[in-house]
Amino acid sequence: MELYPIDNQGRLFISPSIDDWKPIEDLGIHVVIDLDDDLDIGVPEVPNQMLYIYFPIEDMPELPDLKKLHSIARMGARLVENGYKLLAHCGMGHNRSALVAGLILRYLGMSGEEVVALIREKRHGALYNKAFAEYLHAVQINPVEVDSGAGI
Amino acid sequence: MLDISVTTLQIAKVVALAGEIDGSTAPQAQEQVLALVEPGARILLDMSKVTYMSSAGLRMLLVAYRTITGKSGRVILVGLSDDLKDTMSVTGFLDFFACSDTLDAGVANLA
Repeated sequence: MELYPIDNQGRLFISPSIDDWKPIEDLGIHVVIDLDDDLDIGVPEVPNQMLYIYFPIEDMPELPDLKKLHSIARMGARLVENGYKLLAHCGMGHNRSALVAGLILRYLGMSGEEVVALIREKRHGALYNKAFAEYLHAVQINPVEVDSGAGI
Repeated sequence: MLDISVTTLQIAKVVALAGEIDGSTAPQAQEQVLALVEPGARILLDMSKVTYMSSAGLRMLLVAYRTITGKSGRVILVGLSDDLKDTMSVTGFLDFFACSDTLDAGVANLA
């Protein structure tokens, strides 16, 4: 299993299926968005550590439920902005994980064109699902405001 | 929806796939292909009627390739559309597979 860093700050990653949690723990990744059809085996159960989000979607020309997708992406963007390292993974690390990572980057302020180019640069073959790539390119996004959580 | 049929053409087993290979159909295709794998197996995957292939399809092909070649067998993809060729090219999967335009050419490649 290879982890592909997407942003230049080393906070956002995509990957294929997780078969070993050690590289994830070694990188200090504490947020995992699982988009594959099976729950990952061996999700760490240490209290107050891993945030694991399971949202199985299909790699098809049709987009998944957009309200859920954007809710997850907004949350992911806020977590990344607050310094957490986040991994989005699917089966091969090409399309579904790239869609979510791309939306997170859109919420962090990057343009659609920049996002698609960056992801394809960092992960060879990513976003060959044209519907996903076109959506990332075209969707209108209001970037998230940073919430430090200080008031909580 | 994916229709799967298995026939024999001279020295090769032919697995014809017709429809979409996605997360819901790839496991069935994989099961059918792997059931044919014996030492030295020669398999043609007829992809000419595949209308869409998701990453689950790519994963199925990778598992098939590894299993077949792991038993000294050979597999050839037949009749890939331009879209599927593009997908397999950008993801690097075309580097693994031999391809033929027709079943007869595939058999000739296996001989």
